[in-house]
Amino acid sequence: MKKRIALGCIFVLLFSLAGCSQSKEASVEQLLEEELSGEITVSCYDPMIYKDFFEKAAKSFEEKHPGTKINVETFAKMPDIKTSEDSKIAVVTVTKEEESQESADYIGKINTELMGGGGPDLLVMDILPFYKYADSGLLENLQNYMDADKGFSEGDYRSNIIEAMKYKGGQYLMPLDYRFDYIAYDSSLLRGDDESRLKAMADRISYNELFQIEKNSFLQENSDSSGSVRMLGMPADQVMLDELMRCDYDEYIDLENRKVSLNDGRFASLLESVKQYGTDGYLRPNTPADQLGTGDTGVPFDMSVIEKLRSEEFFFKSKSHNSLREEVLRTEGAKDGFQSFGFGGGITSGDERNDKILGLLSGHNGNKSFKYFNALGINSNSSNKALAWSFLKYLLSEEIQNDPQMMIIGLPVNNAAREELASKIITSNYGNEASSEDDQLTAEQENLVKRYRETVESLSDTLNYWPIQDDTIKEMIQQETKRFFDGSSSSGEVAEALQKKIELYLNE
Amino acid sequence: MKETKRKMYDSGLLFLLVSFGGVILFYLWPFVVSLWFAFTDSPVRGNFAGIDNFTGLLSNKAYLLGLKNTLAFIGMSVPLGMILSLLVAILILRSGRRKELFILLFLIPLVIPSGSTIFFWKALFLNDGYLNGILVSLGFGKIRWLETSAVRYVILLIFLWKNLGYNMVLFLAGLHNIPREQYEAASVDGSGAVSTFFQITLPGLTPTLVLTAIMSVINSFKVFKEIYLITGNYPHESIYMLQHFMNNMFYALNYQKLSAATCILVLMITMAVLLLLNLERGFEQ
Repeated sequence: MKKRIALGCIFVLLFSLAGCSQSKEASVEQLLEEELSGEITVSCYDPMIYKDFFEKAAKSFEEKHPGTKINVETFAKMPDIKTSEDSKIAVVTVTKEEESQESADYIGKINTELMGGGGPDLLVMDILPFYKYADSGLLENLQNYMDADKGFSEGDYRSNIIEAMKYKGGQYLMPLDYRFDYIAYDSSLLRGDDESRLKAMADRISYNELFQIEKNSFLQENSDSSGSVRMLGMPADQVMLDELMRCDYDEYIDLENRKVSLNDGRFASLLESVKQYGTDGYLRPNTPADQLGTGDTGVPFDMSVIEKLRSEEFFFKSKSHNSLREEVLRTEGAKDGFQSFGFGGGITSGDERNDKILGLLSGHNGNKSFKYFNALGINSNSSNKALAWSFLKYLLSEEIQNDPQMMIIGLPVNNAAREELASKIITSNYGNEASSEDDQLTAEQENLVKRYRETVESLSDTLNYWPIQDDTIKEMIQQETKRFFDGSSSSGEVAEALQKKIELYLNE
Repeated sequence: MKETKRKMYDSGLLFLLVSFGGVILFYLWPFVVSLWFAFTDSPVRGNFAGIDNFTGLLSNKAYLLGLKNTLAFIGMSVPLGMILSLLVAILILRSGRRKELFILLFLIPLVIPSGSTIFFWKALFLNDGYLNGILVSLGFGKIRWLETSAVRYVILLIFLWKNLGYNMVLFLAGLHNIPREQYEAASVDGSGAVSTFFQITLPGLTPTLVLTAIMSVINSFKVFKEIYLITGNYPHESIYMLQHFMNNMFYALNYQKLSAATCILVLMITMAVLLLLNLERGFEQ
């Protein structure tokens, strides 16, 4: 009897183990030859940016491929949207409580599904720890699909962006868009040969050098006036620290090689620099959000505060690529009326009337960083990878990337779509003239579109760095550096504590 | 007669089968399945990796740190907890009329949910907490209780506060089981308090001591809940325990390392329990 029970147990065990073992899978080439059918699910956390975009794309994909179904699922709650308006200006604020539990729940849900051998077919990497999934073999290497698919040509996309997002030699993430910040300077504040000195360093910009060049002008400017002209419109806290680290992130925390170098003195001196910039008056004493206040829903903002924020002067600004339109229109002397499109840099940029583009912030190794809004990976557990790849390819197509909604998200990675979108961006609301796609561009508009494209493309060409970041590490840095900025710990103590914590986290 | 015995035997088996089924389904089977992960290189479509995960753990700094801290904490908290609870149990036995009240007081921490006590511990030990407030008012400097190695003493205090009552009840039962005649005989022979304690009380408590030690070791693992709620996933390195490692491996999706660590832990606990039971047997003989 005992023998029988023991044998039974062994059989059941072997049977279940056999179920866990690897089954022979079809090659990518074979997968791509399959006829598209069935359904897949695209999962994303944030409903605000992604939901409409994916649902629209899913609908048009289904129309093109009858017999297929694309489900779009989101997890987080929609944020509160508040609008304040007076005769001159409309302010729309989108407020969302930091729901760390909500995001942890979403990651937990996806993790459980993935580890159970299931999960959504396409994962939008808005908050998901993509590198952990790649390490666990849960994401498909999209390079294999790109190579095997004859209908996919890498030359049609921004290859430097896609290339920079490789992880351990594999392409586990496919960006749909990219965004970057550039440095602008206020030409009205410069003195003597400052402008030519700045232009000479446009290829390798660092904040330290910028501040050195403008130090005298800064002192003179502030001795003449009320002392309210700052070097940069950022607060002397975590925000500035992030900005200083963004092009050299790997030098401090190298996630790919699990290496941490925070206790060699460089990070401590970075912390000290931020504090020193604050003490010297180079940076804002508080954030614009502090000045503005969040207010209650329905209660209008104090417009005088907004006006004050918009009139603030800074020698330098770190502005989003979205401001490039305004910059080009201003530089090219476009006719009045274009400003109604909005103030490109937002209220944090202060007075932008004399702003000029300098270039991109550069790291020690010449790194020029970018981010994305929208990037996806294919789940290795997916039972319909052919459809998942086909939909992903569709999202990358000119047809979808050309959607004006892309304009408010980021710059499309599809080259043709980006080119076409440039004219839409320039002509939208330009000179209060209504424009449609079929309208013939005027000579002035054509020139503006050309200049805008050149500006975007020349800056984009140099982008080469996408530092992989981890939310847990971000939180650790935030918690520890808070102690430095509030004066309760020294820079050395914070650097040492972070070194130990992050090292432990990465080498578990 | 034989038939009745057989019937009783059969119905007993039926009753056993239900609970045995539960143990297999919810404890043994998941453990056996997780064993498979311990021998694979990836949790999804993994290949057999031999003992790589086990050897990998032995060179894993985080695992070794967790193991070292866990052993140090057990080595510190279990003996201290046992000595204090035995002392309290003896004092309560001698306290006479207020015995029930003291027992109740020491049992209260057992019934308070961990989540609700965290607020109190945080308020006490935070940088701007009550304790630092007292220190400052007495002219001392602040101590960063939760961010330095001082946190070790904080969790030791929490462990003692939480488990003293439980161990005390076990010791009270053990003390009651020692025949009064032995104490009377010792008293007649002129034995002192210390000599009586070591010659009668301690040998009489041997089975209770073993049971308390086993329960204390198990409870020392349970204190992780409080540590986690107070200091999070990545606390100061001096209180990074094996459970931190295992919990973080779960979130990092590294099920193979998690399973290997679980196997080693199960093996270690089994060996420790067997050792304690053997010791008890030795004492009895």
